[in-house]
Amino acid sequence: MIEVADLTKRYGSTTAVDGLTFTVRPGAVTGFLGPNGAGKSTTMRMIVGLARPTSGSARVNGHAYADLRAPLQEVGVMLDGRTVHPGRTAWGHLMGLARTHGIGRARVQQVIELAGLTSVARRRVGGFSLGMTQRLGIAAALLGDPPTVVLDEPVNGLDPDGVLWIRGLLRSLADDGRTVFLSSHLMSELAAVANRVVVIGRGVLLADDDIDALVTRSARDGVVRVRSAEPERLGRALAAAGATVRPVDGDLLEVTGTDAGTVGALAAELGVPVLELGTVAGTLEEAYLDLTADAVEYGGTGARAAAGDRS
Amino acid sequence: MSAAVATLPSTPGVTWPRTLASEWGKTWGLRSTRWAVAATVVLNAAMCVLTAFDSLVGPEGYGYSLAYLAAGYLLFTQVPLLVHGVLAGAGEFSAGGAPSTFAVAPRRLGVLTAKAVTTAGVAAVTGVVTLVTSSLVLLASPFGAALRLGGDEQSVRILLGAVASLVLITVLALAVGALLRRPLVGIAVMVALGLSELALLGADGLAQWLPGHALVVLTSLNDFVALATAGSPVGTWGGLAVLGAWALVALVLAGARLRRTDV
Repeated sequence: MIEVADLTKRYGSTTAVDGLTFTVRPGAVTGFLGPNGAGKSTTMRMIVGLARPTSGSARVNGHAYADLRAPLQEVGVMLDGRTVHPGRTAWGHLMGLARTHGIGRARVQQVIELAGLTSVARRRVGGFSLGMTQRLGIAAALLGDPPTVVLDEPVNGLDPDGVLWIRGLLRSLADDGRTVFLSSHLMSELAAVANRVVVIGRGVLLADDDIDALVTRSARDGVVRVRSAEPERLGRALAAAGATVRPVDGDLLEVTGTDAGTVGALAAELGVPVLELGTVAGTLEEAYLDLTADAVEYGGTGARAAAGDRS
Repeated sequence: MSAAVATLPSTPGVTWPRTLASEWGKTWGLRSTRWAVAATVVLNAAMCVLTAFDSLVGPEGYGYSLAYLAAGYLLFTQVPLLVHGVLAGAGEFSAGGAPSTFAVAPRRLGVLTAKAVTTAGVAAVTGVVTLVTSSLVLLASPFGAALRLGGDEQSVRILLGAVASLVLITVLALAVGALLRRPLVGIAVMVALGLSELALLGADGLAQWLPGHALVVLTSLNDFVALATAGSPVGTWGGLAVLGAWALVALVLAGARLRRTDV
């Protein structure tokens, strides 16, 4: 369980995290989503006591992180960036962490095997690929068999095998009743594994909801697409009936404010042949783009406009 | 994974002795530590090899004190140890690793003191091995049989003083590294602090308050010590207190930075 209350972090005049409040519950995988620079890493660093909040608080399993007696056995942490000294071996790094808690070699060996690092355990971390570094970070997070894990961009740099492996691992941790909190800037990645999602943009909370509930909030959800022989006549009739009509291309219309049944009935009434009729299901990607439309820190306007064209 | 977790400790938690064990293991796991120790030992021994061909050894020159001949070059040969101290303090911040270290052991001052004790231990080991190795080199030299092995007050002062000075100045280097968090700047500062003694030997008033003074005085022959400490409030052993004060102040500053700022 992670409880974040009114958490704020300012660097000079820049507000990186602005009054965040959310709770991450056990027994589920909770995604932490936001564009680059949204404040995800800063929030995670405050949760694990590496950065001091300007105001507000973060509690893990009911305690402030600094008050935990055995942090490794309460919260497994994997942070983004250079968190391992490149001159150490994977084994040396994990032993260094384990010794602070009196955790023995047997457990270190176990997490090395679990993370698939057996063949490189005695090699120096400086020569590791990004994927191997990520696996080492996950091994470190699991050392103390903690009830809560906090992982910053764990999927980054993993090959397809690794991605499948970590999805399975995260699910099994949640199924054990643990609290799993992972960040990503890739919606599709979270959609594959998370039950809940906390979305932030520019340090502000945008959504804290079940994945399914978030999808239905997509602006695209429920849009009716209709292809007909006489799109102009059908469009005028739909508009007269109070729906919003947007011509897409040729004979295709997108209609909001109504449903497929009404559109079909109206077309029949008018005697307009319908070639195709359906309802669009929202996707998480679209829900995410809607939410963060105004909150992209480092946006290329072209990319955003291209994405916007679809919605 | 929960099915077969290897045994976790029956008394869980971070303790200071466990933190120390972690830091001790971490420092010896780095190649840079092993290189620094080896470089100090080899450099000093190499200087003693040169001494073996020095015609000034003997009653007309440096005398026959084994302790003096073995420890006399430490002012220069300590440089790898100073570099090690700075890296032990700054390396995790510059190269990476600090987030892992401080996430696992959130009591940051405990980590800093464990690092300080670890570094002191590395310096003590290095000092003893250096003096023993260099003594063996000298004893194997042409004048080896004439060397006085010590036991006198001067030899005891030189040997104990050399190791104590190395320990304290390496702890100072660690604190400077942890305070600045930049290895190259830290190394520059420590070489300047450690060797500035040379340029200032004439200016007694200032030199005695520098961290490098203790090693110079404590590893000198009685005659030079009398000359260097004449009229000095610091005295012969007082240099260690001055050096210790430098180390303590730097540690307190490093601790303050560590507590107040983000890692």
